[in-house]
Amino acid sequence: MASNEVTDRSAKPDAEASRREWLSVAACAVVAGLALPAVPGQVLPADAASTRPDGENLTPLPDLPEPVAGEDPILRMLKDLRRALKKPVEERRWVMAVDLRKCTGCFGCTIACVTENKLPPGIAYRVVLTETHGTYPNVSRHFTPTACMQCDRPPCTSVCPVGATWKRPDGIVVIDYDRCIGCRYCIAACPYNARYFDSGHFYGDYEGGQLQPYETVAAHEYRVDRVRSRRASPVGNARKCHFCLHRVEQGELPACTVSCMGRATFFGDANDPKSLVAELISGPNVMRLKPELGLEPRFYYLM
Amino acid sequence: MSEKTLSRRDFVKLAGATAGGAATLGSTGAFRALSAGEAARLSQQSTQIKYTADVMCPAECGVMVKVENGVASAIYGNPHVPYNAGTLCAKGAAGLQLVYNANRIKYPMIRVGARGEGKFKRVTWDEAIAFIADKLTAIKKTYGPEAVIMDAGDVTDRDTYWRLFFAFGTPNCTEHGAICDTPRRHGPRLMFGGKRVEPDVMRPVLLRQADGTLKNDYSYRTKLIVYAGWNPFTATRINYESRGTVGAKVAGARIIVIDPALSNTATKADRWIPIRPGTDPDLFAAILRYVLEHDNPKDPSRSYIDWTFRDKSVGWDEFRAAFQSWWAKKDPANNLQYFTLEWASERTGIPADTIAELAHSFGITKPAAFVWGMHGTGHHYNGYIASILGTTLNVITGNFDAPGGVIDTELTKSDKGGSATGKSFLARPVKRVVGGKEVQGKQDELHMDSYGDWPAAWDDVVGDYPRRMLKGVTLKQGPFRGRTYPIKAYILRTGNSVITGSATWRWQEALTARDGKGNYNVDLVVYVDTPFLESGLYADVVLPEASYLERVSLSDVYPSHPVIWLRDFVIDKQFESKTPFEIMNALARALHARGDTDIQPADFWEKYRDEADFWTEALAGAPGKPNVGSPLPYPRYPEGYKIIGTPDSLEAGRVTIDDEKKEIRGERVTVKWLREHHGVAVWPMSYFRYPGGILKTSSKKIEFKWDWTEATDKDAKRYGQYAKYNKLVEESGSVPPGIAALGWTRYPSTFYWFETWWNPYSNPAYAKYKKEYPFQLTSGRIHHAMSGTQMVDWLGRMPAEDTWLPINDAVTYQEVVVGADGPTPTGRTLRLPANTWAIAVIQMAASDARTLGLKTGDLVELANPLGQTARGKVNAVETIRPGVLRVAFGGGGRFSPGLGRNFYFKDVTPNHNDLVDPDDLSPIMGQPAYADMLVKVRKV
Amino acid sequence: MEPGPGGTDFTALYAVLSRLFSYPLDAETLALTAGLSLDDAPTEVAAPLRAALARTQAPLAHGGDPAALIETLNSEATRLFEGPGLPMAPPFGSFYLNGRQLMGREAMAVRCAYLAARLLPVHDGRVPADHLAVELGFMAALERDSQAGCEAARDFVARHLLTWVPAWRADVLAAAPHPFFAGLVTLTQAVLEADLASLDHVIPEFALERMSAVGDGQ
Repeated sequence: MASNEVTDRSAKPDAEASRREWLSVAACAVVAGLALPAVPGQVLPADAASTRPDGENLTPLPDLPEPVAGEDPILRMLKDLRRALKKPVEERRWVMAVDLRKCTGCFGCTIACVTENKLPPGIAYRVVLTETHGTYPNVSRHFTPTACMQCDRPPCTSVCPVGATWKRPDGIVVIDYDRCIGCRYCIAACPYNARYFDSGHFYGDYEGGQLQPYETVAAHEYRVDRVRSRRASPVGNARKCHFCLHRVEQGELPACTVSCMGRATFFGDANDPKSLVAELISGPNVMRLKPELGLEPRFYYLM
Repeated sequence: MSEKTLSRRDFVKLAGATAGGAATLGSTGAFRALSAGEAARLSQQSTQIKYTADVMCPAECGVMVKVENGVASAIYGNPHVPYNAGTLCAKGAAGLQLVYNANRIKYPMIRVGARGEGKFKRVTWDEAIAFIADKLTAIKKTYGPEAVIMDAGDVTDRDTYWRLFFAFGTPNCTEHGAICDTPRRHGPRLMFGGKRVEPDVMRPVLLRQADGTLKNDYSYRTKLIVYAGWNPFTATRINYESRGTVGAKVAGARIIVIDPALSNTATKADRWIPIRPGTDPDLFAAILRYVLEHDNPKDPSRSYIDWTFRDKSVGWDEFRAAFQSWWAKKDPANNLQYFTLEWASERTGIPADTIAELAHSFGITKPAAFVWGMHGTGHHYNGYIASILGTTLNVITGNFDAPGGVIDTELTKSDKGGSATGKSFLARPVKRVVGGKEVQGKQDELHMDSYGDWPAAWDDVVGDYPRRMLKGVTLKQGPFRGRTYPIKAYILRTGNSVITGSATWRWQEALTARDGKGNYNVDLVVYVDTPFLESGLYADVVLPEASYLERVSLSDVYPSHPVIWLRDFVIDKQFESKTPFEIMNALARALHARGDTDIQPADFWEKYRDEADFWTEALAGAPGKPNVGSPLPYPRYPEGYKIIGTPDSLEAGRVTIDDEKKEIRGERVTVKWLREHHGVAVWPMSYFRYPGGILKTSSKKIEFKWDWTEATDKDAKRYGQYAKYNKLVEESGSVPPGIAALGWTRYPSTFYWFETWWNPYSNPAYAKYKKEYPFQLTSGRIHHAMSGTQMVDWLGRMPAEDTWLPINDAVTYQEVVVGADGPTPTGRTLRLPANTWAIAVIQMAASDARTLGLKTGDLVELANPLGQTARGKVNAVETIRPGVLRVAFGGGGRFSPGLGRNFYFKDVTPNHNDLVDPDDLSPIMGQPAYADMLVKVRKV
Repeated sequence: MEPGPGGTDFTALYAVLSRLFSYPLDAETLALTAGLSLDDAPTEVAAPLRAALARTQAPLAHGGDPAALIETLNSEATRLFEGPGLPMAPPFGSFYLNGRQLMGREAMAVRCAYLAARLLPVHDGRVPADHLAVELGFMAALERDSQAGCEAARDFVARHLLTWVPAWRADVLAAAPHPFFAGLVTLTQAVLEADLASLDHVIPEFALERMSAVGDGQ
């Protein structure tokens, strides 16, 4: 079976290669303005006309006054991001960084991710760990937001028996819901508990029995529109954080990054020395979780 | 069928109906024809982003909502609103589950059972409005319109309701400030004419640069922030204090948090000082004494006071003398001299050298911000004193309105409301018969608080409403003194006073009390809201108000400089809900139709054809702030003149200058303008905006004295924030009972001191309870869920500090949902597994738990000396001072099915307000002292 | 009354049915329903309609307090169709076609059909597009003077309404409904089936007419 190395994928047959290729640059039919309903569980065909890797037709940047004595971090990261999108996908190196000095434990990132990705009950890609130490009055409490680490040496991709999950050239570890059979080996393999199984629950099950309107809207993960339905993917599949790839490739930052109340979350292309994330993760106060496992996570923490 | 015998000409013959005839019956399936263009455009509708203002908490942050095929699917912060600058907390993002909640009020309803039973029937809007208008008209005829209270609750876009009821004739319109934290606001109000001291950490701030341009400044200047009894990371009420505090800290500021519990804010503090509850005034007094005693302008290591404050203030000498008059006295509680370090240490439980270090740090570090909170100071009987002392500390150290210091954000926020709010109706001349004689006065002089027992309560006294509902109102001040009237109607909008308005049981008693004939004392109770909260169970009429994604309005917001943003339509109104604007006009029409001449079409539906009309009038005076400070917001315009108009017209010079009125008038801000500018208008920041300038005191300076007269050759003018109230008292000879209980005969001229209630450590009157009731009971906001937002699933799955924890027992329940006829069983039996749902718990020190033989998860009963009890599970933790319990506000005992799954835990979760002393209303403004209480604990 | 081409009386029937599935029922609507008659229609087509109509009208003829009857029927409508929570037979296409959800693919598809016909429900955005009353209202709004109009109608009955109405009707009948509703849901399905059959006959007639017109002009 293939190792964790990304280059193994080049040995796969053409049909799979083109499918992956499609997943990395596919169209988003909803944003293209078609009223076609999303077909539950099916993958829509690629539409070359709405691919936007060159940075055109992106939503406008926030219209803010000129900065002085600092800058708006979101605006800076958006500019970094759009610059990165002009490069070929294999030259981008997406990383996320969280400044633990600034996380206020608000859980806004958790909910922003849930609503952006239309996650069902039981799944939250971005969780905030809370640890309390000491005895009164020498007590401390720490908040550590975590998500998928998008490891450079991911232990989850190699255990998949059907090749439904792999690491893209830009670093994001993706799942093909249509190939995933829900065996959950990958969930067990992840030392960061970053993967989840979609058991098919709905919020409406718990309140009144009718689905809530926001859970009938298509999610756009991997730039495929899916209305979640009990009898179709992603129900029955593994799911995980993908750094809001669908937003990133349209020049928008991940949901957790824009919402962060402490302005503690950062995202960008670490291959670009001018990007904010590259500056931040080169500092002396940087660490990653469980570095001893040697998985080379792409998720950094500033202390 | 034979093809030959049938043709399309005679296929089916239907007698008795035509398509047209049937269509006039009105159908859910009515259609309208579209032009080709319309059809094409609608076919392409996909994803839109709409700007509006949040309402999940009173911060009311600017948000942008993703709408997909007409459904709101995700909510984000609006990056153009500097208040939250694109950030959004968990509550804001979870708003979808309030707007689309299965328990949302969908249709108008009229009660069919007794109040509190929860039995309703669905009615049409016409029926509901008619019911209300009939009752209001009858009440007005028999008792006068002042017998009606319009309580606009906790959401601040209230102007439509106030306008209507002011026009109707009652001065008794209120909002949530009354039960929020009025003592906390008292110092800034007395001394600045303001309300709300916050640190200068809102970034970006828009500042005029030396080269004349306006730029967003992102630098943090503050070097020290002290938060006493304030937890901004959890309260998020001042959104920018989350990113601002950590941003300032990373930029070099020191953060000190004074709080009995390790709040989320305390987790980022350089020092956490676990103070004994109810002793903030003691600590602040000791700090002030220390600063005054040790300040030495000649010694750089002791130069605490910036004495230039004397030029910008009045009354310092009197204040200082009054303050120092206590220094030699001994406190009967501990026989130590007032305000010394030893005295404060004994009362607060903080070591003396810690207090000294704190005082020294605050004095020597510049710039610095001394900030105190809602619960820690505002919710105590003597909270005013802490507020006055805290304000004083900021002023004398030179930190008021200084870069990196504190800002009174009430004074700096943009005007809103203006003539639309209808306050001009309060000046209407009215006549009443008092003691057999006809008396004329103004409508406002019938106010149940300002001219009743609470003349100085500028935010009304909601906490005392139950007493007046039971006993009636007696006016004691003003021209109508001696007049009594009952409270016959209570209109409650977006509020839940049964849970939040002081003791729950007192409110229940008041709303269900009957007269001798078996009729309810309060003849009409109306509940207007989107979620169905406990107060709705006591209503006669329930009206579905359009959620915050379905209406247009403006809110009270607290940035450091003038900024105003719009709430706007995002999705269509759901079910049969109506906007406040529509409700205002519908009720106005109904009242007018019943002959009420105070309600004129020209003031309502003829004046305001649509939402934008009303809210544009409310924007007419924006920002309404003076062109003062450094850097001057508009150097090209005269200094000191009032600024009115859109930012772009002011910047471009499209203004007229009125030298007589001293106004700079650009193009008016309108709803349309806001819609074209990402929903927000931002004007420049500046500092040192006083004397004069933003201050609203009568002397235009900072006032350390609050009632004095200055005589000139021609006349004598009386100054000070208490002067007006003392005048009333002098005229009537009637001392308000609140201050009479303190032994006062008037409102003080300067510094005062008195003790709080239910604190055995500081008030000897309560020493006897200490042994049997060993715990001080405090409260605090649960970040995730407030009284009105707990039905939200996402917020119910996550823990919050130590007062909201998923340690529920498994429960199987018969589901009840708020349907067309109110709470209705759905027939489904559901099960919630253990430890999957967050419930309100009692935060207790682990050492206390051990002493009592308790562990986390044990169900206990809290009992107070008044014999009231509340039950909940213990959460034994290290993060709270021993001898203190913390029970979140509105967290438990929720008995409305509209609270979703929280409803099924009502018997095992504590309602803090079951234990509050309803008679513990702070003496000047009547704020319920939620944090003054002692309890004992027993396992059940 | 004289039915127009393409079976205008179907239009009237749909209008009445749409109103009957709009909450609440009132005296005017019930009076209109009680006064309907299909006696003049050809038996082969109308027989099942007549029987179902009779069943629907029977409870309306009982006399007694009309207000009480309205109250009863509205309560029953609430139980069967409205909620709160999950009613016995949610009258939505998505519920039956898209895995018991609301606002699913079916709702979007029928909305596309409305827009294609340059029609929009008055309550668009507030009531899901695939609510039975809305779909029946669409059937009432379609013009049937042309082949295109008849084809749109036929399409909608065959590809939308009749794909889920039978299952929905079965749910209603399984809930021991008031006889009025038992009759009404049977009438609804019968009307759809009859309309489908009629349109299948009517549509080719347009083509035949065109052919014979061409012939005449020569």
